[in-house]
Amino acid sequence: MNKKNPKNRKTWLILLLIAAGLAVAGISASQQGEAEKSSSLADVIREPVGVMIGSTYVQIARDNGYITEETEIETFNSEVDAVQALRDRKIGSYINCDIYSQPFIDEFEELMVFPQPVGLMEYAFGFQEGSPLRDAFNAAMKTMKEDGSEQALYDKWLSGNAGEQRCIPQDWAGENGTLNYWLNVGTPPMAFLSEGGNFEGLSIDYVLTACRIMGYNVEIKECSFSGLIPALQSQKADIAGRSIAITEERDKSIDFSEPFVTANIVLLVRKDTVSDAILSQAESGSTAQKGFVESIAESFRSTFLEEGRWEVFLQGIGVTLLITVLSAILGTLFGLFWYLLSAQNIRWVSMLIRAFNRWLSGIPAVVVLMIMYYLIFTGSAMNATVVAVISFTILFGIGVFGLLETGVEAVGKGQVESAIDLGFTQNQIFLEILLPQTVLYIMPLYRAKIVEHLKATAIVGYIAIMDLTKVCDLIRSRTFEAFFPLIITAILYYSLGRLLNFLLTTLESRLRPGNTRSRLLRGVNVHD
Amino acid sequence: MIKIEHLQKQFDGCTVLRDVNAEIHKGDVVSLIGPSGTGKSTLLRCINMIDGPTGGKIYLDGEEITAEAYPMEEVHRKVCMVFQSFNLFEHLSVIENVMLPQVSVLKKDRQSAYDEGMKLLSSVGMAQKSSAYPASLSGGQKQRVAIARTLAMNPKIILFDEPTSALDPSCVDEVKTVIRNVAKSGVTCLIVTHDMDFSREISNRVFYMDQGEIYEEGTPDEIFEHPERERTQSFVRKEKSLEETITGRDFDYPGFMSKIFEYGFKSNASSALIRQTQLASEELICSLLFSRLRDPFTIHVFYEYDSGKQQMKITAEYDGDKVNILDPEASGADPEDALSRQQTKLSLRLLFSMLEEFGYSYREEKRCPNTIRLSLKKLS
Repeated sequence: MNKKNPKNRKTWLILLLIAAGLAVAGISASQQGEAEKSSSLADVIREPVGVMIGSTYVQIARDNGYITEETEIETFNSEVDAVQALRDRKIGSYINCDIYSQPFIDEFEELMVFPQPVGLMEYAFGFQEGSPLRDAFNAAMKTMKEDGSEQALYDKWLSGNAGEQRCIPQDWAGENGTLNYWLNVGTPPMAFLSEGGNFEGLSIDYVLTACRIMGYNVEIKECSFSGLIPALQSQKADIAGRSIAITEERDKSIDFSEPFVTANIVLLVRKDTVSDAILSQAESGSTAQKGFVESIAESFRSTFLEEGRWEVFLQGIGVTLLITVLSAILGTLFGLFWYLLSAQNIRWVSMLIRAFNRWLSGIPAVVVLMIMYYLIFTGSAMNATVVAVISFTILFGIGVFGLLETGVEAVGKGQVESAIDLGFTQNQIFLEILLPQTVLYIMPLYRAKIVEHLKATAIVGYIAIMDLTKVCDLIRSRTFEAFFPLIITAILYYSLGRLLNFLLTTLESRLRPGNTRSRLLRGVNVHD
Repeated sequence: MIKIEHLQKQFDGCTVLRDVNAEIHKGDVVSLIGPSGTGKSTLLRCINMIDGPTGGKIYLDGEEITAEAYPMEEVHRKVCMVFQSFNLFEHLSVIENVMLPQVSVLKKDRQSAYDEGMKLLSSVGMAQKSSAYPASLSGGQKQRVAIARTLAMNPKIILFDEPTSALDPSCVDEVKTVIRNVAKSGVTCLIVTHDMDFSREISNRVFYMDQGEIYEEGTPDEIFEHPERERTQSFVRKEKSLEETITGRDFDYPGFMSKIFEYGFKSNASSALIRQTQLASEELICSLLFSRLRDPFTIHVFYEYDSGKQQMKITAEYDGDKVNILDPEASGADPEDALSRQQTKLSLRLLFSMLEEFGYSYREEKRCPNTIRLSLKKLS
C-alpha cells in the first residue's frame, strides 16, 4: 500500500481545512458569547470603541477620564461602516455626536444612545487661515440669530423628517462672487445625498443662508472628512465642513467661524449589552421612518429607485468611464512617445526617463493623485477631473512603457539586426518592424492593464470627484445599507471591465496578420 | 574592393580578432572556414558594421568605413548580410518582406518594389508562396526568401553567415543552389561555412581563420589538398574524418549513429554505404568490444571516407589486455559460456561479410595499444 499516493494526501488536506474552518468559527463564536451587561459608561467602554477617522471624540473621552491607555480604539472611514461594525459586534460602542446618532437609532431598533454623555462639543465651519470671509460669515451668523432665520433652520432640519427637506434654492445673484464650499456628506440631518445627486442638509442650508446675506453664491463639492483641512490649506475651498468640532489643534491650521451647533458626545450601543436599569432610561427612538427589512427587494428599492438614485449611479459610471477611457488613450500615446524618446540613444535622456518611471512606480497611485492635486496643482483653478486624467495618463503611460519593453524583447534581436543591416533607421525599425509585432505580443497584457486601470480610478474620490465608488459610498451613508450598494458597485465595475475587454479583443482580431487569406496588397497592381 | 588592415575586435577583455589583414577583389567568392569560436562571424559583422571593430581599419572602394564620420547608410547600401537564423519579418508576408526594405530604405514606389520582388522570388523558386507568412515556411524556404530580400537591395557585397547551419539536411540543397547562382552572377561574396565541398565548389579563395587572424589563405585546391601550415592541416584532416571516443557502455548510441550519418552525408557517400558503416560500427562496438572489454575502458574510433575509391575506413583503438577481438578464439571470451561464444561468432560473421580488408596490431607504448583497422566494401 503506497502511503504517499495522492488520493490520501488530498483527503488529509480536506480534513485539515475543515478542522481549521471549525476552529475559526468556534473562536469567533466564543467571542460573541454572553457579554457582560454594562451598567455604567466605564463598563461599556471596556470593549473596543469605534470612532470616525480624524475625529476628536477620543480626546474628549480621554480628557474626561472615560478612556484609558488600555481602551481599544477602532477607526472607520464612514459612519455606515462604524454602525455596521457595532451591529456585527466587532465594536462595543461608537462615539459620535447625538445629532448624527439619531438617524441610526431611528433606523436600527437594536441600537440605542447610552444615556450618559461623554462630553460636550461645539461645531463650526472652517475657513482659510487669515481669510476675511470668516469675520464676514460671523457677522452673517449674528444677523441670522437676531432675525430668527437660524432658529427656523433648526426647526426645519432637526424635527425628525430631515430626509424629506430641501435646501433653499440659489435664486440670488451673488454680487461679490462665488465661494467654494467643500463638505463631507453622510446621513441626515446635517448633509446627505438627495434626489438627482443633489446634496441637502442643515449645514448646507445654513451656509447658503449666510452667503445670501454676504452676497455670494455657493459652489458645493463633496469630499471626505480628512480632505477638508487640506482643501482649505491648498486654497481649493473657501468654506469647509458640515460641522467641524472646534479644537485647539485644528485652530492652528484653519480659522473657525462662531459655533453654529452644540451637541452631546454620546456612545451608540447595542441594547442587548446594557443592563435593564440603563435600558429603561433610554430615549425611545422615534418611530422608524422605514423599517429595515432584510430583503433584496427592499435593498434594491432603497439603493436604486428611491429619489431616483439610479441616476446618481449613472452619473458615477459616466465619470469613471470618462476618466478611465480618456487617460487610457492619452496614456497609451504618452507611453509610446515616452518609449520612443528613451530609445533615441541619447544616454542621459534615457537615464532620466527610467529614473522617473522608477520613482512614479514606487509611490502608491492614491498618493501620486493627492500630490498632484494638493501640491502641484494647488489653488482652485484646476478642475479635479482634469488633474485626475493627467495623473492617470502618466501612470498608465508608464505601464505601457513597460509593456513595450517586454514586447520588443519578445520580438528578438535578430530581426532588428537584419533591419539595421538592410539600412533601416532606428525610428523605421521601431514603427515598421517592432511595433506591429510588439502590439500582438502585449495585447493580452494590455487588456488586463486596462481593466486594472478601470479599477485604479476608484481612488478619485480622494480629490472630491464623484465617480462610481464615491457614489456607492454616498448611497451607503444615505440608505444605511452597508452591503447592497457594495455588491451593486462590484457588479458594475466587473461589467465595465468585461465591456472594455470585449472591445479590445475585437480590435485585436482585426490587427492579427494572416487573418485574411488573400490580403490585397495596398497600392499595387498584382498581375498574375 | 575591401581592404582590411590590422583589424581587432575585443569583447569585455576577450580578444576574438587579434590582427586580421586581407584584400578582397570585386567578384571574389571567399569562403571563411575554421574551428568554432575563431571569429569568422565576428569578422563578417565588422565588415557590415553591425558590431564595429575595436581597432584597425576597413576600406570599402577606397573609403575608410571605420572612420568616425563615415555615414552608416553608405555601408548598409553596399554591404548586405544573410543570417544563420534567417531573420525574416514575421508580421509580413513573403512578398512584403522583400518589398519593405525597397520601399523604406531605397525609397522605391510600391509597384516597382513589387515587380522586382516577384522577379527575385521567382529566381529563388518562392514566387508561388509570395503571400505566405514566414511562420508557415520551412527553414530552406525562409532562407531563400531572405536571400531574395538581400538581392532586392542590390548590394555590391553579400555576406553569408553560416547560411545552411540551421537547416535540416533535406533543405540544405535548395539553399546551396540559390547561393551558387548568386556567386555565379558576379556579386562579391563572403561565406562562412562548415561545408567543405560546397566551399570548394563555388569559391575562388579560402580563408582559414584561427587564433584571431587569417591563419592561412589560398585557393580551395591549395587549402584543402595541400595545406601548408600545421593547424590548417589538422583542421582539414579533421573535417575530412570523423573521430569519437567511447568510455562507457552507456554512451550516446543514437547520437553516435547520427554523427556517422552526417559525416557520410557530408562526404557524399552513398546511403547504402552509410548504412553499412552504421551496422559495422554497431557490431564492432556494441557486440564485440563491449562483450570483451572490462570496465573501465577507452575506445577511440576514426572514420575516413575515400571519395575516389568510394571506400569507408574504420579504425578502432582500445586499451586493456592485448586481445584481438576479431579473433573468435582470442582470450577474454569466457570458455564456459557457450551462448556468448555463439553470439560472438555470429557477430564476426556479419562483420566480415561487410569488409574488404581488416587488420589488427598491438603497440605497447600507446595508451590504447590495440588497433583494429577495417575497410568497408565498395558496393556496386
